[in-house]
Amino acid sequence: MEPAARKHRWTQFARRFVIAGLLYSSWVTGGARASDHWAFQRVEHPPVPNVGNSTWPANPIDSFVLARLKQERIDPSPEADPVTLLRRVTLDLTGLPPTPSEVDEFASESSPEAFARVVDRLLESSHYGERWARHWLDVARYADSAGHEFDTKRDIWKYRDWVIQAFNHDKPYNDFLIEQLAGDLLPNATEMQKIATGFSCNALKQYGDNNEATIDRVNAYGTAYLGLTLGCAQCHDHVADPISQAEYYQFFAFFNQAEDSSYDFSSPEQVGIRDALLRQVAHLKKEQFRYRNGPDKDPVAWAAQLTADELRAIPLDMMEAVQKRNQDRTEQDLEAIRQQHAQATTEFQHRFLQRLQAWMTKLTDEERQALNPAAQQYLALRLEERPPDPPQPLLEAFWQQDAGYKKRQEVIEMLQKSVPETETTLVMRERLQPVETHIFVRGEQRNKGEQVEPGVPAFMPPLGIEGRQPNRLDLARWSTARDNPLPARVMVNRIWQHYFGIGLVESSDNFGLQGDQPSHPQLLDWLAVELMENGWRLKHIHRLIVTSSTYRQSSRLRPELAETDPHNRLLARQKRIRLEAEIIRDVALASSGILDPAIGGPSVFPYQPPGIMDARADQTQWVMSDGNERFRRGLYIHFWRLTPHPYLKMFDAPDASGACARRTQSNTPLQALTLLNDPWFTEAAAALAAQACRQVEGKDEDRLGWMFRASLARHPAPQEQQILLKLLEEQRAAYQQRPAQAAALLEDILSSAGLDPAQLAAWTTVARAIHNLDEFITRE
Amino acid sequence: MKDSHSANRNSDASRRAFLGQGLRLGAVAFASLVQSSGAVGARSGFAASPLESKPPQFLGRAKNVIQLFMTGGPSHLDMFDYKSALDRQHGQPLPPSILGEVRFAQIRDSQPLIMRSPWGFKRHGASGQWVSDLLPHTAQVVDELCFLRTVKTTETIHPHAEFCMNTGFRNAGRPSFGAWLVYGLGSESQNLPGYVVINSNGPPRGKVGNYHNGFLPPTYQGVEFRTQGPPILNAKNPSGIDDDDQRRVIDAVNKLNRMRFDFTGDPEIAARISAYELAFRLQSSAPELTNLNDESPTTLALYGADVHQPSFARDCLLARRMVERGVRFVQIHYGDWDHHSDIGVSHPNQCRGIDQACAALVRDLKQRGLLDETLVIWGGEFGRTPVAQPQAMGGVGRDHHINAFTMWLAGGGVKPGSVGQTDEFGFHAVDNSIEIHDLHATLLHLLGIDHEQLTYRFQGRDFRLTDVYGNVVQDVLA
Repeated sequence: MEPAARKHRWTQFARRFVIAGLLYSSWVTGGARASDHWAFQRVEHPPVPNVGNSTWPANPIDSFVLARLKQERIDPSPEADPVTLLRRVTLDLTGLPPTPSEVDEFASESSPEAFARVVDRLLESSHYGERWARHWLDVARYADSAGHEFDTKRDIWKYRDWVIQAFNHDKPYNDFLIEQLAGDLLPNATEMQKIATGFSCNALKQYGDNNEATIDRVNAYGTAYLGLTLGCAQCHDHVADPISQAEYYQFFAFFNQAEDSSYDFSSPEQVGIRDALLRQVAHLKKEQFRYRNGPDKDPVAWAAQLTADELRAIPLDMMEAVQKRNQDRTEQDLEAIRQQHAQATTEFQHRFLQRLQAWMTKLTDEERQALNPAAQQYLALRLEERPPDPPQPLLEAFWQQDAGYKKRQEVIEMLQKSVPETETTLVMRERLQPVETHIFVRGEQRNKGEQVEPGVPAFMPPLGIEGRQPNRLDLARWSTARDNPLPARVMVNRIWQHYFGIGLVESSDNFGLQGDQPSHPQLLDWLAVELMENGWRLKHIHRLIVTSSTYRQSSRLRPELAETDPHNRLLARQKRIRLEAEIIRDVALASSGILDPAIGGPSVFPYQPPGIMDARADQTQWVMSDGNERFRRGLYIHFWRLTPHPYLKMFDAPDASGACARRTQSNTPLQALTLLNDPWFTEAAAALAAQACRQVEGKDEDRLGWMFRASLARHPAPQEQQILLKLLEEQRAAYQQRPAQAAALLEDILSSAGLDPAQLAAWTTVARAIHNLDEFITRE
Repeated sequence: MKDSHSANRNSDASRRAFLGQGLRLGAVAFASLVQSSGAVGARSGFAASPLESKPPQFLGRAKNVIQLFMTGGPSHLDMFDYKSALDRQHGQPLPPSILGEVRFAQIRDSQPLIMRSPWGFKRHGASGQWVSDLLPHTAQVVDELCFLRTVKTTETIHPHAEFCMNTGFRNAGRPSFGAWLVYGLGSESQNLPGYVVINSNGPPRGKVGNYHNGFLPPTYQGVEFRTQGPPILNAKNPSGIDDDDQRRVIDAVNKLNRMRFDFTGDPEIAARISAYELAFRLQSSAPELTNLNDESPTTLALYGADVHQPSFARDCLLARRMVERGVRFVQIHYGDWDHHSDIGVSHPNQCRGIDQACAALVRDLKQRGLLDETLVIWGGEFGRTPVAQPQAMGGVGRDHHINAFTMWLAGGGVKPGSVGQTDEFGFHAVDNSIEIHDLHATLLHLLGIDHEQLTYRFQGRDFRLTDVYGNVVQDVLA
């Protein structure tokens, strides 16, 4: 049945599909075609193009870029002015703004040598590790909770700190990858190498479902290490890349042999002390329970729990029955036990009731009135009217005054308090028993298909392990082998993306057949080789890029290129890039002088609007951190996967639901409202104003200039100065008339002490204006 | 929150003066931006300010859109497209002639078995449309609805199919339908975003890619409203800042941003300038929007008991209030209809979640005379298979089905009834399929826009929502 109208439609549609179909069938039938894909070729050292006697290139990066620009007859942009350049490179390498004195120093001598010194200083800053750790944590889908509706908290910040340290120590990128995938399997693995395996523990997990977590591990590995969307082959063969479903489960098999577990940092002594204390607490609690509730209701259980004293009370002829192992007991023995148990129970109850009775009769009127109403009601009854079971509150009151009970309770609490707190982190470890891996037919866990062994896809270089089962360490070494075409390319591309807004390969999360072609294929390969042949040192790549002329260009748009190259793929200029969520806040705090620059440690809880945690099923609250903790950098904000801090989401931080190689960039009125009204930013603005008022005496212009430079590095232009001074005048007048408003603005602001409120409130308004500038939240 | 009117009384004159200036700034900024990127097709004649309301190309009936996006792919066969053949042939293999070379997302059996709908169907309304017993309220408004029975997509996998439905393209990165519309027609509201997104019970799988501006200027991105607590955070001035203080800060910020725009030429700054203007007005308009105290008990009852808490019902009522206030495009996502298994339990639950509110929305709009100018779109990224997807354990479900599935439209310029027909199994279209580009072309037509004229120049080429395809489905038009 093919009506004429439909036939017509088919031809219309066919154009689209014929091409897609050809692409598809070419690798399915030809087999060899997939290996023609550029990204699957071994990375070779490309020759650096000859660009004649141009003085523009500072290093080979520029030769590749310039050669391409020459083809299009486009000149590169001039170098950015020194102040812009310094703010750019400081933000890029540390995520913090340059201080005014750093600006002064560089502006006085902005030679290439001086710039190189700046770059060295920044690469040695321990904030460099924080800045670039955050980029990696995006692909590592780092979070402080397990996700899904229960979203249980997890302790894994030591992994986050490991990443920071790895960048700061310039750990070779191949080791960086190996340790995260299989640090636990390295010979004589160190504690740090085990912590590194937290990478795989960042998986989403629910109900302890190891299969789901393993799938997440494979997919994150695919994106982070290989730039491949392996997850597409989870339920069926990959529709674009030559990865069959069976090959997906070969990857799965590596991870399936492992599980996450909590790694305890305590020393053997600490563990010994803790275990002894906990054992004692458990023992005392059991004793306390029996002291209060009497013999266990089950006779056999009771017999098993008898203390030496209690045993002595048993008549000798029944002792044997009580002490026998359960399976040896005859019916006669059991009968004897039941008899003894009944007797013990009766005795206990009798004694208890006697004591209770004695206590009740001795209660004074005052003591009675202090009791719960239900208890009072019970006591008001005459003895014969009282129900057999006294109300629970009355019993509770009785026990709370019982000397034996109270004493034991105090000991339990004291011991509990003295149990040392433990520090743990999640790590991967091999399971003791070999685990079989089967394909999940249609991706369904319950529908097991053929069994597969650990292995790698046929189109990639071979794993090269013979005669034994390959493990995660083999996979890690394969993933970083010189012959593996992907890891170095993928990493240098991600680095490039952070410096220019778009990677040389735009689809930085997909180097497969459906990914984008590189804009500068040879430059990409040259950088990848540079990485691999220089000890996989990432700082080497950073230094090359930021000292290149390409990087140092002005970011002003070039109207003449708007049509031909609107997204700047030819790199004829730099690009204005809006700062990331965490960095916007860091910059506000740092330029206002209130940032707590401490590095590492447990995640922190700065202010969060009320109501966010209501979306959780549990009762977890967001309890704000004390003191300076709330001024820590954004990457330390506790990340609940179910209820992330709304600020982070507002400015496009990823949701940690999977590896994120590219953040989206939105520009919404809600962001404007955040910068205008969020208490974080009001506090930062007041702090900036207070600092300016304290440090700069004299003219308003000078104070404004200081604030402007602390925030934006540059001096204000005359017209800018005029606009802000007018704002200052208006606000000063307004707040002098409304002192209560000034006081309200500065309430809870620590830094306001000793300053004239109207004055400070007016300057705070000016600081707010500066913090809301597009330039403030942009790296130009 | 202060009443902005009383707080502003003193400075009304200066405010008016500012607003004039603000709009001019925006217009100039955008005009230069438009020139620099050569935007807007020559024949379209749109005004130059990004959010200023613009006349349609011809007189469309609809002005606004409420899109009820059922994420996960609802089963047309268990809701609207009744097929008695499924009852008769339940448990038998689907004829190979029908099955053809189809490749399902998950079903791999070579002879998948037909599954009847577990629920009864009845004819409803004067038009006698079939509706499942799971949708008693929707059944009462069928005479307002136009069922598109042969919608067809190219994508089998959720996020790709979502992007297709929302942007016309299988990958994230293209402008969404809402973004195109606000680009084409501007916003009638100066106080609310032109394009609002509500992720009713969670975002779609492709997240913001479903309401992104893509290569259009960032002003056209959908603004996401929260479903719990206040719709937007930080809508209140910091304490000690009144509206005049706030206004002065924003004035200064926008003037300085404008200077930076002149210096750098970055369109992001133009977008930020209009974002700050809107942000200021949102501070009073957003709380007003969600204050339901002025709704009559009758209206609240119409939407059902859920309307007082975060729910699809509340979101539908908010959508009506938004279009009343001039919001151009409201996009509500509600999932998850992806019932591969246990359809017997999950599908009725899911239907209960939307039925009353969908019907209430249509009725409410009609009572207020808004239905004529509002286009309501109901549908998911695809439908579901007439064959069962057996599960190793647990109840059966249905797989994704892309060849033909049902959506419904109501309101502005739509002819109630049904368009297209599927075969006896609800598998293929027996007459014309409605491709996604056809759907988009038709929707734009209803809004007074020729889909071939709504263009944006990018990388040297004029882009359209409908690429180089799309035919208006005439049978939909009233």
